[in-house]
Amino acid sequence: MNPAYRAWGRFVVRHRWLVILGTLVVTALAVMGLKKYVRVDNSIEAFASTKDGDVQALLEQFRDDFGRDDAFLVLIEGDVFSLNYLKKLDQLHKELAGLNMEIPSLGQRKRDRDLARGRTPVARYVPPPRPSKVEPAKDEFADFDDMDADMANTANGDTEGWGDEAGGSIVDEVISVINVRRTRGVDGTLDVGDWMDPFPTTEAEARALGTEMKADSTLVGRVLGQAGDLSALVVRTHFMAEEDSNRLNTAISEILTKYEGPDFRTHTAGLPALGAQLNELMLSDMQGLFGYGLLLLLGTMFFLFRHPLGAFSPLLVVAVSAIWAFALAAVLGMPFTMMSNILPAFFICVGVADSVHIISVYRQMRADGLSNDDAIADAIGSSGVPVFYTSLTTVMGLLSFEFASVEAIGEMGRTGGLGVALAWVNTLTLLPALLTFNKKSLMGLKAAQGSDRLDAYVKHAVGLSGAPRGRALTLAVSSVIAVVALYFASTLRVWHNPLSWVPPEKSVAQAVMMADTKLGGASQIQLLVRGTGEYGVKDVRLAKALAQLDVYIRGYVDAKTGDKVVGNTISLLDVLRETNRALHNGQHEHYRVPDTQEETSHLFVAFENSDPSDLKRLMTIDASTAQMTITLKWLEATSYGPLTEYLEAGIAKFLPDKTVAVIHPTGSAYVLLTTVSALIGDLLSSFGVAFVVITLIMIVLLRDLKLGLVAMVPNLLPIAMILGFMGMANIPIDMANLMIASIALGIAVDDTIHFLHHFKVHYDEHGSVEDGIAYSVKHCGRALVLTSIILAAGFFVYLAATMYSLQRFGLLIGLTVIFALLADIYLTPALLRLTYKDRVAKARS
Amino acid sequence: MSTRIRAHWLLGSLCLLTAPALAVAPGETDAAKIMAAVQARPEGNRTKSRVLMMVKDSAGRERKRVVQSRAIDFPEGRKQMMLFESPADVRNTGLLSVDYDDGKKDDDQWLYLPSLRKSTRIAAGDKSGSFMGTDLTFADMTTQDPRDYAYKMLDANASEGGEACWLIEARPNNDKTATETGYVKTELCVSKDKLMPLRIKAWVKEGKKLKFIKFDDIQKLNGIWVVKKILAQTKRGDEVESKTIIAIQEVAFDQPDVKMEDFNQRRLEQGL
Repeated sequence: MNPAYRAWGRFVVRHRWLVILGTLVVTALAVMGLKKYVRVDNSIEAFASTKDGDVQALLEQFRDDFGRDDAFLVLIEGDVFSLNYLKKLDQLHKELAGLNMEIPSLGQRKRDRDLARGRTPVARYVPPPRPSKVEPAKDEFADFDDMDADMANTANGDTEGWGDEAGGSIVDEVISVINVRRTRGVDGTLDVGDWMDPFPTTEAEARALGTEMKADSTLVGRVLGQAGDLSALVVRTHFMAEEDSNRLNTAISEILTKYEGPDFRTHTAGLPALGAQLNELMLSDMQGLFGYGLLLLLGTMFFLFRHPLGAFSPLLVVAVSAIWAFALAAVLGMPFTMMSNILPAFFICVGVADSVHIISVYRQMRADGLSNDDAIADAIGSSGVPVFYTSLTTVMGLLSFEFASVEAIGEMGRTGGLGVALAWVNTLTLLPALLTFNKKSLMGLKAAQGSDRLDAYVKHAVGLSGAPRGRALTLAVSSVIAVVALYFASTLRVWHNPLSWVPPEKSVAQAVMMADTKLGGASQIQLLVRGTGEYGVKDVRLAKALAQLDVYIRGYVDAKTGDKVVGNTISLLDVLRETNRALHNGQHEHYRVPDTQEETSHLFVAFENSDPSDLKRLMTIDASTAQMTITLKWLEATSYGPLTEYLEAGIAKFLPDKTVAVIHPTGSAYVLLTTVSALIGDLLSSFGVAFVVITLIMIVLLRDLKLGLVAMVPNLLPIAMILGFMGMANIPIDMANLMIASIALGIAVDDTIHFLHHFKVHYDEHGSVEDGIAYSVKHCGRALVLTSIILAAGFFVYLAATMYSLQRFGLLIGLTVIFALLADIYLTPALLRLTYKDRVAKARS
Repeated sequence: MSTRIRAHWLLGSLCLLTAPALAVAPGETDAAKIMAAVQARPEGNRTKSRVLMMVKDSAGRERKRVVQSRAIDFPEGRKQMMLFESPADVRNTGLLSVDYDDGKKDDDQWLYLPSLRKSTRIAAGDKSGSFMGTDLTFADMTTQDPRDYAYKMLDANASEGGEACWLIEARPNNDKTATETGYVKTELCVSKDKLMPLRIKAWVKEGKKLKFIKFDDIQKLNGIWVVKKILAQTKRGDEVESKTIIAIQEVAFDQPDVKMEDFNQRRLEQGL
């Protein structure tokens, strides 16, 4: 019994109204703060690594130069070159191109959000120097300063934004077979126009056009399916926040519904659509299941404690703490991300578990005949120390995520740490204040209760290692389990594929599969090409090297599947080759990079004069930088490693001369997915730090080096078991579950702390190992089982989720809870009996 | 179509913005009448000019081009020849444009690439597209038919840099014009004195952008007002996507060596 905590318990009991009023006031302020400052950042970039600044800077550079690197991809199955299909497609194309809705975050990028949050955005990519014959001139563009100042002073006011004006489109471009570029030379005329201009008027014209288009390799795999039974609309918008992108996805889906028919079957793919649909599924799962989980928790606690105070108080502690934590995080500029979704689970683990431990001791005290106020004070005095240490270890575990290179994970750790610390505060203030309202209830415990089945089971489990044979058996079985678990844990693989989280019958999964099988794919990688020579990216040597690299890239075969994954590439090469052919009267042998620098420069002039808008997406105005977009089949994250190596080998092979150009792979999908492998390493180091810190805390708590080290054995076994289970069940480590080891550690440590704290208190006082174990079982054995049942039930609810990732998460956490309990009631007593001997009791201090 | 636009463009500061004295009183409030007067001005002839085009993107990258141009009127419209002077790798690349007044007739354009050693005809393009990567479109360069617009006087007593002007809103009254220009509407600040726009603000439909054009450094040459510098910038929200400066470095009218017989493919292939 800790006197300080006991005194605190008494203080709260005496000032319960002050505590409740204070909690209400702070909660009201928190709700107001939350409303004012909360920001959701579910953007894909939030999960990109911040550690590799170059990778981020390259992506930002790409966006500076070429705009958004991803696009919505609408796939339409049907007889593409029937007149009816083309007419419908034409209408749909126009409707999507004219799509207008209020997008508050239009133009907003991660860099803007970083700046708004007071964060330093990624450093700009510094390209290698390029020789220039032109002397730097005075800044002619300084004239615009006056213009900007004038605009700010114009009498008619609004110079920014569209004001109330309606009619504009938020879409940057829509590309489909309707408007895709056709560069041709007919009768000595260079004609850069649309394939469907003029639009076919008869079935025969449409079919004839189809035959020509299907023969064009730049269209097939990009806007046209390989078999001609599918075409695609690429819808590219300006930058926007993820929530607006989700709304846009809904708006696109609503438009598609109007056109849907047996001969015109629509699907949406592309990174923004995939992200939106994953978000939608996850949100709907989380909303439903979190509610059910909460109800189940409430029901279980009501059943166990038989009183509204027993059922509601722990949840109230969790809810108030969560509101405070999220509000404080919002005020501190930390956004709510996909990662934050797991925080309620953390808060429930800590808040509910601590409350249940205190209520269990409290009702035991009541049953022992203490008054309500004394029982509360004694319960706080008895459990205050272990509750503090369980909270502290969990906070440390969460703060260890600071080592992760993904900002969202670091922020989740900080918010989580805050929440757990606040849950500790509320467990020691709000909970005892609420318990003062209990008049007579023993919270499910009978005054003269004998042992029930639960007690009998705990006693049996703890007593199993009482005899030497049982002890040996327990240790042997634990060792075997550990070895087997470690073996299977060693077979764990990193395999991150968000598509595998979704049941295959879901439209998003089907659309991506369709893009893979019938089109060139729904995923993209970009190459950022910086010309370092005199002619920049118009250098004929670069064009020739790119042509070789293009062939090389198209030949890439994924080692895991043996499939060719690159469906198409788009770059300046297309412009050069098309224009060259067109200027040579359409002769196919001229569909190539020209031989000389002069010809190359002139071809660019010809194209620029005909259709410069297409060039904007392919090279910068000063011809210093270009891009190549590689469309490829959907790959799981770790497959990007070999692909990157292949790309870099190709770049080194075909363009060894850095004075001509330097080329880097980039793009959102690329940056995000290459982060995953690095992240695993980060989290291992986070886990390592947490493990060391928690071990030290255990040693400090128990004031005993030996006991502190012994304690880590039952802490580690559940982690080995859960990782082994994952290996055995072939559940890979991915972004959805990579924090499982840290969560497992948090859960396991909490159980161990409660058990060992009570043991230590008694052992120090009386010197008897068996009595110490019995004392611990009496004070927390039942509570350990109860919290485990409550938490496991709460998490197993996630098995009913639609998304496989949530099902796995619920299953793994639920199992961890059970494994941690088993380790503490079987292994911990065995270890204590093995390492401690009875001794003379020391004087009570 | 596009040739006519280009012909007008190179002489943009000359033909589009010259301002002879027309019968519109400073107190006039009929926006359509004012715009008809602005559009109906006569154009200079036998012109030689040297034009610098500069574009700067949002990342601060710049591109410069210098072209030399000659233009001449003929009964059906206007012919223009221009030659790239810089950058060096496109020097001597030339364009010949024939711009027909009859809007129904497609304009003609030939491009001469020295490496091909022959000129190639270029088909008409999209009017709402960017002109050679600048912030101006082909449609910006062409003379607009006032009948295609609904005009509204926003402020008959506006001023621009201390100069009295009319602030007029022009909104396309048919889909064809709206599609061709790419604008939902434009606001023009028209000088009462010079009868020429001093500033234009355009609402660009695609991408919900705004375009601002300012006519600067206006000088009187041979009795004609000439804009020596055009500043244009395209904004989306707060972000400036790109800026363009078109500076007329040299200009001269009624040049005797600008002769009709020089405006043909053969002469294009020989250079100016």
